[in-house]
Amino acid sequence: MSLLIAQNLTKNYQRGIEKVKALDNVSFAVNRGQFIAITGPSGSGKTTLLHILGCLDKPTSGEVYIDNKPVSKMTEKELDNVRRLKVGFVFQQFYLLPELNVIENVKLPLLFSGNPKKVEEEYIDEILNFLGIINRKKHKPNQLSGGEMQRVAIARSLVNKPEFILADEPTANLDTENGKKIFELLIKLVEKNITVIVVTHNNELANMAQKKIVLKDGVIV
Amino acid sequence: MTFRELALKSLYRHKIRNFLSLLGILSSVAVLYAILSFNKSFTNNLNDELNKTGVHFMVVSAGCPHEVASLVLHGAVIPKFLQPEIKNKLEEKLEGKYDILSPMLVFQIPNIQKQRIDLIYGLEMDNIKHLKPWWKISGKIPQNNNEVLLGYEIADHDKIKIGDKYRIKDEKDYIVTGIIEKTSSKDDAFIYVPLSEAQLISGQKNGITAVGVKLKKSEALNETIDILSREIPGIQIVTINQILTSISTLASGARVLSLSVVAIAILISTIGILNVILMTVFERTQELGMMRAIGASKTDIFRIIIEESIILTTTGGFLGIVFALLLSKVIEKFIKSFMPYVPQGDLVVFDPLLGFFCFIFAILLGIIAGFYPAFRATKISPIQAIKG
Ligand SMILES: Nc1ncnc2c1ncn2[C@@H]1O[C@H](COP(=O)(O)OP(=O)(O)OP(=O)(O)O)[C@@H](O)[C@H]1O
Ligand SMILES: [Mg+2]
Repeated sequence: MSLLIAQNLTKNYQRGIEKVKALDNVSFAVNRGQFIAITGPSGSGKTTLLHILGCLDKPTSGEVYIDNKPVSKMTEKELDNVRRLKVGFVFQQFYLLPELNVIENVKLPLLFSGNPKKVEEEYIDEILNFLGIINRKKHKPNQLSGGEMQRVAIARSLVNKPEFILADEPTANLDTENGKKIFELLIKLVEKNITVIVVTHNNELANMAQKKIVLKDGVIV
Repeated sequence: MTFRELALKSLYRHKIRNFLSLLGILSSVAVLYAILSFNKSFTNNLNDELNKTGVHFMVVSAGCPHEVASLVLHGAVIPKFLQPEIKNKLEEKLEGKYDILSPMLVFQIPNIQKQRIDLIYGLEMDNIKHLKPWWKISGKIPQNNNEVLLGYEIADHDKIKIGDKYRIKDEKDYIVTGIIEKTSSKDDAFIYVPLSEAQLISGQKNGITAVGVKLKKSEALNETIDILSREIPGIQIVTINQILTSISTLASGARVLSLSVVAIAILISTIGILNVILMTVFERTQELGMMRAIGASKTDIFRIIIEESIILTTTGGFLGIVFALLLSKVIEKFIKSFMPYVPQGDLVVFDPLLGFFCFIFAILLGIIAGFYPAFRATKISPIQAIKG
């Protein structure tokens, strides 16, 4: 059974009087524990697709199924719960809060209401250890390198034990070396049966994934 | 971590800006507390003062404006004199059913040497302990016509000590036998002189401006007033209750004015808070959008923002109350400067109930100021915010 199904996803944007087709009839399925890379030239619709999969945006037509539940039928509250508990988002710009230290940034999602999962300190230590930032716990973001900041962001996305991770160009702000390390970490997550969908421009990194979805002008090629 | 800790840390990002808006709330709550405390004590102290006065009513000349008549006990200068025979008529009609019958003569007279006007309060010195029982007098009450009692301000201003001389009307020196300790009321500004001497100074032989009366039985008050008004023409009777009401009415104008000033100050400082909170919402669009993307509900976002606003106003409110108490003397002096009459005693004082009220009010201001920014924050769409 597929964890995530995209069915005939189409997304139109209105830019002035011009209609932009960002996604055109995109369909695919993702199984639990898969590592998927989405690539394609700039403007091909990668970010748009990722946002729709992560329930941040709605398609113009088509449907996303998460655990066989159609997203369009979900209430606002259910969508909040999906974002909080099932999905972990990692962004190109990390988005760490500057006045919080590493551990506080990682625990930020636990603050938000309606959290039935209990997360133990040991689990958080385990993630930090796994990501190699355990000795950075009390540091502020401005005391960290880019690679370390992205690892903190990944730790934050993992803290609620999500079923899948969505990452939009997580390595774009990092050098080759650090970018590769991040991908190696993502692979290790997949080994722990977490599904990872990552958008990247970098072909070499995309080739490390089990499956590649290549977009061009909103269509899978 | 809690929402409060998160809000505190975010506030810390713009320390100076937030501190300045906090100062706005601080000062308006300080003034609010001071004025409310003043008003409350004003009524209480006035009640107290008049209750302690052993007089049931004052008799003044008919046609004298009611408000001015009310102030007679507190030294209003009335241009109209009572007929000299009024005192005898009162004694006659009251048939000995009184404890006190105290004629008084209040007038002003130029003091050329000191370039000012002296306020003279003439009364029978034995009556002082009935009329002003709360006075603390150092020295003695005058016994002879060449002796005077000074209000605190006069003595303090001229650096006069007991035993010194005080010259009235630039012709006669009087021995100061006593000085009244500070009452913080108009009493501080008078020179108290035996009635007959006051009549001599004023040039009004047998002149009196008012008579204070205390009956033996207070139940007979209304009946007695009826009889006196009917049988003695040319007089007007003001009871202590009427005095209380008149003074309160006089003060209420100043009260309304001061409260409207506070209302405007509060409005402005609340808009100040609204403004800085709204600014942080705009500045943190991406950050708040990110929080939405990682699972914050709209309610969570609303709480984070409103919490910041409430922290600012409650901190400002709390410090404002502390500030009002620390500066109570200065504030009191300022408010007194535009009040027509002020009873004795401290007026801006610690009052737990009032403090609690002001604190709750500050929380309310926080909710009001934070509501719109928080509402705006819930409208931030995660996609616009984090578009990579
Ligand atoms: N809000 C919007 N309004 C109008 N057009 C939009 C909007 N967002 C995206 N687009 C358009 O949709 C298309 C796909 O955008 P998208 O951001 O998904 O591309 P992308 O593959 O992520 O590109 P990049 O690699 O540069 O990040 C682009 O042509 C873009 O200009
Ligand atoms: Mg993109």
